[in-house]
Amino acid sequence: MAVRVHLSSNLRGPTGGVAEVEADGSTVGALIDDLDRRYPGLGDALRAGVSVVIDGLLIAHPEYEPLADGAQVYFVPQTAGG
Amino acid sequence: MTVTESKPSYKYVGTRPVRHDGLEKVTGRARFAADLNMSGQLHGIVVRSPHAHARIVSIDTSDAEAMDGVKAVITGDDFPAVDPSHRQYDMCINVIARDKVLYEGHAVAAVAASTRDQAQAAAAAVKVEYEVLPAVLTIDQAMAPGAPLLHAHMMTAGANPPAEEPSNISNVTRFSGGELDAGFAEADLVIEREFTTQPVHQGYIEPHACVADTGQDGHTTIWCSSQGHFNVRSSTATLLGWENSRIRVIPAEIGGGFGGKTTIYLEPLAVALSAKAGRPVKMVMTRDEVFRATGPAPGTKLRIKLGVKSDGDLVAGDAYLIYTNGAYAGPGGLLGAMTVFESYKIPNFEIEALDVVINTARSAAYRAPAAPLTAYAMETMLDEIAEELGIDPIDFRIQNAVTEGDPSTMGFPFARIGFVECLEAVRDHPNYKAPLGPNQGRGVAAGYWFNIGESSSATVNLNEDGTATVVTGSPDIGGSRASMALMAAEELGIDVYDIRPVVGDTEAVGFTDVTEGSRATFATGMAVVEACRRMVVELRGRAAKMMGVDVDDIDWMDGQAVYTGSDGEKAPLSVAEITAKAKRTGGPLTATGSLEAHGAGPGFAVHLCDLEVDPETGVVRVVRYTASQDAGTAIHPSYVEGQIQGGVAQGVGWALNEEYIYDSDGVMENPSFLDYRVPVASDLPMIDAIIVEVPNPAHPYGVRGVGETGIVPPIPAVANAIYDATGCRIRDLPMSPIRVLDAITSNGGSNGS
Repeated sequence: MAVRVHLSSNLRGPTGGVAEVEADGSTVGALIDDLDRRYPGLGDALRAGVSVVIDGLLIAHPEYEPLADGAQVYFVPQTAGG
Repeated sequence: MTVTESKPSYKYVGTRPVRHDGLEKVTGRARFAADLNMSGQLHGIVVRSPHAHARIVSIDTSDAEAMDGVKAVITGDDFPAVDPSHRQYDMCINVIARDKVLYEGHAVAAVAASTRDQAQAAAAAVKVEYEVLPAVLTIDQAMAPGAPLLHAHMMTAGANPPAEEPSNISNVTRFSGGELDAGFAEADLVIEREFTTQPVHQGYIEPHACVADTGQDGHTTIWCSSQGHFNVRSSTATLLGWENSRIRVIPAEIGGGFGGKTTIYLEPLAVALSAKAGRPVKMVMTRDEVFRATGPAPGTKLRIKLGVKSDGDLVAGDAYLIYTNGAYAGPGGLLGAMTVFESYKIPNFEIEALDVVINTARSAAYRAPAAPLTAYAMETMLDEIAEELGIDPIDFRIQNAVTEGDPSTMGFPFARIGFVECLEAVRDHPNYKAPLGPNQGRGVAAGYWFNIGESSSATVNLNEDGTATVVTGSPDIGGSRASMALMAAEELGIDVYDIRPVVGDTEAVGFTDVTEGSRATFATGMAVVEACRRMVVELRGRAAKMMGVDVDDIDWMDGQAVYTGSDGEKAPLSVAEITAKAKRTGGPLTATGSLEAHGAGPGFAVHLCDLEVDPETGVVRVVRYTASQDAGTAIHPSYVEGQIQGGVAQGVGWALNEEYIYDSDGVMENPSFLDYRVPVASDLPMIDAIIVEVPNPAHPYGVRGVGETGIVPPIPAVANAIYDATGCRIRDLPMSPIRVLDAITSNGGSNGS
């Protein structure tokens, strides 16, 4: 599955500051694995307390979330609350 | 007053039944944690550090152990060692210190005795030898070169390049978008302002309390007040090195939490004391302990620079935010960075946020953590800009407000949100044009909060007579029982008063995350709806058996199984008719729902504060307050209004009076409600709550969480109103009488701009 990945600016170190990249994965976990292959170190950053937004839905624990071909995935920091 | 988009017509959702737990609470029958007493129980008291920063040289408990009535004494040595790399290291060493104390009030030992007086006497007899260390009490002290380190292992996370030396800066967060320099070059007006704020406490009326009863079989039962008893279980298990299955946590009613009861303090100590003594142990904090050792929300130093075109378009924003999180790493800076520019379209921005540790109590969440402070800075600056440009402050915000499809600070496009609708609701309210009297001023401000989903579980049991019990794992801190019953009533068609909503203990219902992030009615409500819809499938099957027809020919309509097939007429079957024959159709009727809730909808709020300033004393009195908030869909409007009003009350207190005051050694000087002034009912007018309903598409009824957003706008709304009344911009909290008076009398009536 080809996926368009959008990284919040605090996660762009491994991509050299690039905000949007292409990667493959049928789930968010597989996508992170592929991103880590393409941009070493990005996988650790994305597994450490990061949520995703897919089709407007905020998903806090997305590892096994399925992805459709052409999906737009936004990685964002995990939030908390009171 | 409700502003409502078109939505389905509901029978129960959106009505205002008396809450199921209401009578028990107003008559005093409801049982809070401190109300529980067990046969043979002991009383536990915590020994706390008198120093803000010190190494523990030794602890001698022998005198205490020999005293009358004393049955157990514990120290950090009674708990497994914990490595700094452990995910819950901070929680563990905060509950009971090991080699160092990091703030005045830090627990170092605990005592259990037959009476509370005996326990207090024994606690005083525990001899702790300290090597006092220099205390770090302010952001500037913590960040100064060569500052004493609280944690030798603390390397700044997020630093680029990576930190090579430990420091008191736990975390750096950076967000950016567009081209900042180009944005400011494009601006016709640029302003830069600095703000400081102090830690404040959540101020819940009920102090932390619990009872633990540990048996010889190594299992324990805890009764406690918390925002999440499954978290109490897992955190206690972590600290003790136990399996979760050895701990049962029964939630008591909760007398306020506001985020401050999303963590634990007493429970592992009570369990350890109970295990050692072989008796139940009750622990209840005093208010003094609550102030010194729990809570507070972070203090901050904030610097923001904004650039705007003369037509009112914001074009650039630069934020430098520093949050103190007390003695341990915390998320304040991250959350501040994620909220500071989130409500407005600012194409060019940079945000840098630091989290700093100092020798004060570990910060805890407080309604929309971090957001009220960034709103204080941002919304007062927007007010300044609007005035400078001669634009109505609400119109200025509408011009720049994010709407569906606009990118957030983190880059993702917003789904359907109701910010503009909230702004319009206040602009169009009669109070926006109401006349003001002498020395009165009006301020407007907006607020934003993410809201979260997380895990929730629910069980629906139908009783033999057709009534129902709905069991969830979410402590009811704001009327959520009523919300659960209303959603179940809507789904099942059972009268809301025939549904008993219950908060189940850790062995009675599936895992449920803490009630935080305004998630209970959203996420646990989704679990209730899921359970009810499974129940309806089962009810249709049972009805099909009773009618002798195919289940596909049975619909569920208004609480009845209705035959829709072509084989003649058949009388509908009610829930009570189906449950009455449950033994003959398959047995008890029960259904569960457990889920990880996705799609929490962000909350927006807009507040309008009218107040009067006494020019001779600096005392500020709020005379009228109007607050709009997008609830998505208000399941029980009265409790949505209550959440809005509660957020306003706490925010006004934060704005005008509340602050932690320490002496030069880091000892808190105002640990009582006499010296730490929270608003009481007589301090505030009736707050006019406007519920805006822009449904959240991710929730079956369109719910957005409402518990937190309401505390975000009050501080800047009050600050803007004080400016309107006095001409003074006050950029340090609290805006207490002495500070207001000083602002009025100095600098020609203004404290500078």
